Amino acid sequence: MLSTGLDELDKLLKGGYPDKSAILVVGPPGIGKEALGYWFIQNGLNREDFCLYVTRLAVSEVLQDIRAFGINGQSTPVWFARDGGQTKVDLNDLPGLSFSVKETLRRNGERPIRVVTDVLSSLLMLNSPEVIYRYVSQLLSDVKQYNAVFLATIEDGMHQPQVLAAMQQLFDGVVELRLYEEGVKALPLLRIRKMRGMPPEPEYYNFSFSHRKMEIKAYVR
Amino acid sequence: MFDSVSIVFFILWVLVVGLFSYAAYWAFIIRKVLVTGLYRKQALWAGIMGLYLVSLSTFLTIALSFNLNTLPVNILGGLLISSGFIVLFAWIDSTVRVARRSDPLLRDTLRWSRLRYFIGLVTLFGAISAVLTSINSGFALVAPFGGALFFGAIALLISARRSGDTTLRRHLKWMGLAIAMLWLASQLSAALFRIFPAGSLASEAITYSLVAVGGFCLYRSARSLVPLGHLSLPDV
Repeated sequence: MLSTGLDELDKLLKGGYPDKSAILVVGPPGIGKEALGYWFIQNGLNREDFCLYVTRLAVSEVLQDIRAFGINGQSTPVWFARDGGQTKVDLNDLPGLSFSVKETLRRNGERPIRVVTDVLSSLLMLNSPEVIYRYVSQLLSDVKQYNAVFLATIEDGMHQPQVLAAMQQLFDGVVELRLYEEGVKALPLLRIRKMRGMPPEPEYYNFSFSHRKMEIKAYVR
Repeated sequence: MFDSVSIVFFILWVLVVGLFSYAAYWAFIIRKVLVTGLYRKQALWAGIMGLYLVSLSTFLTIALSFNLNTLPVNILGGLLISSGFIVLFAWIDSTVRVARRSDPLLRDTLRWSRLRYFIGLVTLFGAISAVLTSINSGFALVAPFGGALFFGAIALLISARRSGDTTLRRHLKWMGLAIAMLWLASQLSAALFRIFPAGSLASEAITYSLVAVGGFCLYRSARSLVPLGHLSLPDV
């Protein structure tokens, strides 16, 4: 198991994300799904794992978001970014992106590897879903040849439900962060839709972010 | 004692203020649970827009009903109307930046990252001139919202088209309808003055109905800042 970087989420997942797994975090923009990626990377950097962050944004934009979660970003991962990273991300060049990721993992394969990416939604908007299913499927099988955990975020409310459902099939674990309406309140709820090695978890959990941590409590209606 | 016409006006005003307040409430509730600064800012300005419309509609109802036209009323009216320029600009600015973030190619529509400073400055001058016009000629003669915001609205529509984010588009559709209804109400009220006697039930009822529809659209736009799910019993 690889720690998520968040004690409460580790407890919920009985230790963390499974080894050699691909995790999908689904949620609307701004709800904090990126935070799960940041903490996962930060935890990896503390353990001296090889960490790769593939983002469609500029590094400066990601670092700005990171600070909101109390992460200082002093030790940094290897960046594939639109601007400011070691490798420039061109979302129109799918083979190039895939090659760069595989090459980087091959060169660092002796260490545990953590990959975090936020490019899925953009790729789905620029290409047909079928192309992206094949692309992600191939990429995940390549990544799993290493001692790696791959965590991707995807935007809820930007894609057709059937596209989102099909994408979830490709991943070993799906963590859902969503806003639910209850009376005149909006509740942020977390659900583990599926996780390899765990029985189906139908329960919802309240979650909130505070400085440097995420609080998770069982949701009682 | 209040006559029946005053009571109808009061009920309509309560309805309108209630709708704007409820829109602001939802925007602030959603802001509270969002984490990323960019999206929190957009929700904040949508909420402030609701509060702004509460105070503006309250002011206009009182000032126009009692035909108030003293200097302090004109200063207050000028300040209220001019702050609308700033609020609308801030909402447009935050929404264009959200739309850019959801564009897969992160295009900087009309070079908004630079243009926003110029438009912000022009909007600020528009706001100051609105206050001055209000002091000199009365708040009723201030033209609502500056032409500079027109460019902001264009940037916003282009960004939304590029983003492909259905949630953002829904928010913009309702916000656009809200602004259109409020604008239509302001235009229609001037025209109705020529047809009906000032303060007549018919003209006020038509104007208030349009404002109420605008309030409802604002409420829908606030709720569509993010997709809101509903928990059905078997889910829990």
